[in-house]
Amino acid sequence: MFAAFDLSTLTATEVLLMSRAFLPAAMIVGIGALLGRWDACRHQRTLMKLIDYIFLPCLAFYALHRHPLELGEIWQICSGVTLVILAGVLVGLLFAARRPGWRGSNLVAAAFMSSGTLLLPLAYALFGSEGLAKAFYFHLTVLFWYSTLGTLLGERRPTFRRFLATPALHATIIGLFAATSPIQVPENLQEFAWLTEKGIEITGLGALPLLLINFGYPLAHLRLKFSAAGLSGALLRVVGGPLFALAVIYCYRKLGWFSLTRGYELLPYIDERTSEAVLLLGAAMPSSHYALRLGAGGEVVADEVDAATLFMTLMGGVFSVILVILFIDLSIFD
Amino acid sequence: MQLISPEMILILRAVLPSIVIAVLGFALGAMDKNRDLNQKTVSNMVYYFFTPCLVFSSLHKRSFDFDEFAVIGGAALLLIAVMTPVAFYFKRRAGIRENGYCLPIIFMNTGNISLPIALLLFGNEGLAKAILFHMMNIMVLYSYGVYLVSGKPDLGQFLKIPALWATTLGILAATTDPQLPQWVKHGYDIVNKAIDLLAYGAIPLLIINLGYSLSDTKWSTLKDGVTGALLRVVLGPLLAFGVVFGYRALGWTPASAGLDPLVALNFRTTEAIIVLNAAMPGPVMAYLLNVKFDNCPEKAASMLAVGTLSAVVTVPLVLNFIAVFIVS
Repeated sequence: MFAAFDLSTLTATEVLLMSRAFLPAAMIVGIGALLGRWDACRHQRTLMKLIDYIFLPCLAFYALHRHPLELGEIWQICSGVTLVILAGVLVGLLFAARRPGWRGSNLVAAAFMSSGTLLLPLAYALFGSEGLAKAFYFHLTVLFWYSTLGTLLGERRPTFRRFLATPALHATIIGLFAATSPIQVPENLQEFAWLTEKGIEITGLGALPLLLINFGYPLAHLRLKFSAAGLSGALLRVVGGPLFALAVIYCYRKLGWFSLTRGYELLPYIDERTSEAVLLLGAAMPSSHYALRLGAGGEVVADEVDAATLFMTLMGGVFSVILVILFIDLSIFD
Repeated sequence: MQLISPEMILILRAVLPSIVIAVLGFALGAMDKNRDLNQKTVSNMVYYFFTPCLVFSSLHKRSFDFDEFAVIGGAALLLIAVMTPVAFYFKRRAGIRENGYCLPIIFMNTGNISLPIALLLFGNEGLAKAILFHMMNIMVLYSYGVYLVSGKPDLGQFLKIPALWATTLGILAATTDPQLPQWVKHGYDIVNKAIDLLAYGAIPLLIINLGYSLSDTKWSTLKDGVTGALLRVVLGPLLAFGVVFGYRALGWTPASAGLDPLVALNFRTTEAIIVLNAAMPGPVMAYLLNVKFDNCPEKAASMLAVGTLSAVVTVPLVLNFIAVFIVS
């Protein structure tokens, strides 16, 4: 089903290419942490406002307005992410039943991944614009489940309306409309349309470093405590997540939703492998920042349990993400 | 039927994407009634991380030409030197005592507006030249400019400019080729990749910050800044054309195309960058210095707002003049 995961077949060039995608992102997260330390973490709202209202919508539009709309692709990614999240929640609930230390927001930290701040830049660095478009479908699905199931688990009312008001969702719809619309822009206005797109593209690419900085920003202020609940949550996130994703990919291949053989056309094959790779990579991401904000009642620095989960997923995530990238290279793309 | 001429399209190419981004920043500011966005944080990020990365990223990839730096940096110095007595004359005429009034007239906004236009119009070559001009402008702003508003020289402040260090490192990286072990070179490539990624954020953040600032402008205060702003955006490019033609007369930049069209194109780009930068309104940093030293900040804010708004008209005009008198 998957090609052998034999690290001895890995070439130095492949390692270098992968480290060129991963290490710069890690460095920028470090800069974000430094900035958060200098600022005493007071201005996360400023960063989030810039990202949520300007940069992320521009990135969504940039990623999708030239990406062909394929319902099969959207279905594969969205259902895959849903299954990974639901599996995480179920196992988390089992943990919670046995350990009294677990709380709702801790469950969110264990089951929900950092799909926006980390996955989007990494997917772009590893798989280019194609990967970015797929990562956006991934991110929006996570956002949907967070707004409904996640907030419910966090002992709060679901914020589905807020999901519908998300600027990135609107930008995605506009981007998909632009990609599929049969309306032809008059020749005279094509240059204007192209220049407007150029402005959005410049802003969209500017989102990549900002997202990473935003991820790093609160890290220096997490109150780390090696709690058992934090550790088990972290294990569920960084080990359970990729394993669930692998199971989903296995099932999809068995069901024929992802083709097994290369066939005559190489491009659809690469496209499906990229979908699998994004699914796997996204599932290996550290905990989402949303869990922190949820646990802290909208503020950024949360309870020790959630913070411990996030911090430990971050530590574990370094290894799990590297392992997953290697797995993608050797066993998915083969 | 072609509604827009090819020359106009060329100019639009340079300014429209920037205007789109500025409008996004303006819209964010208009929506943000409580002014939740901390502009100081954004400015700090741009100042300490993004702009130095942009400076290093554009300088280290191309060869450094000292003559080119002398031509561009010399022009920036000359423009500042000529604008200084003009600004002081108008300050005296307006009956204002504070030197802070002069800063937005003397100095140019060579970061927020000029860098993206240079990149879009002249590519990476144009961006690198614009950065050389920008460096000279901010070096003088942080030395002489600080002296004007504080009344005492501050070398410490000058040496703390992150972009200054990025320029030095960028020039060093461009001019030296040390024999390093392979693993160090790989490490350097990875750091460069991170710097390039950070540089992506510089230009949109610079423009969004500007658009956000403009959304808070009080229209009733604008009349105070009309004279200073017009001096900056009208007299500035006129003087720059004088400098460019002076250079040609002195033979520092060749007037004719010569045998090598690439060399001629390089000189024309240099001239265009000088005129473009001279046409910029006053810099936001001048306003911030005025605020810091409480030296006429209201008038400076008004000048910046009028200058930036009028730049929507004057910059395309100046680009048109560049196309007619310099590039063609």
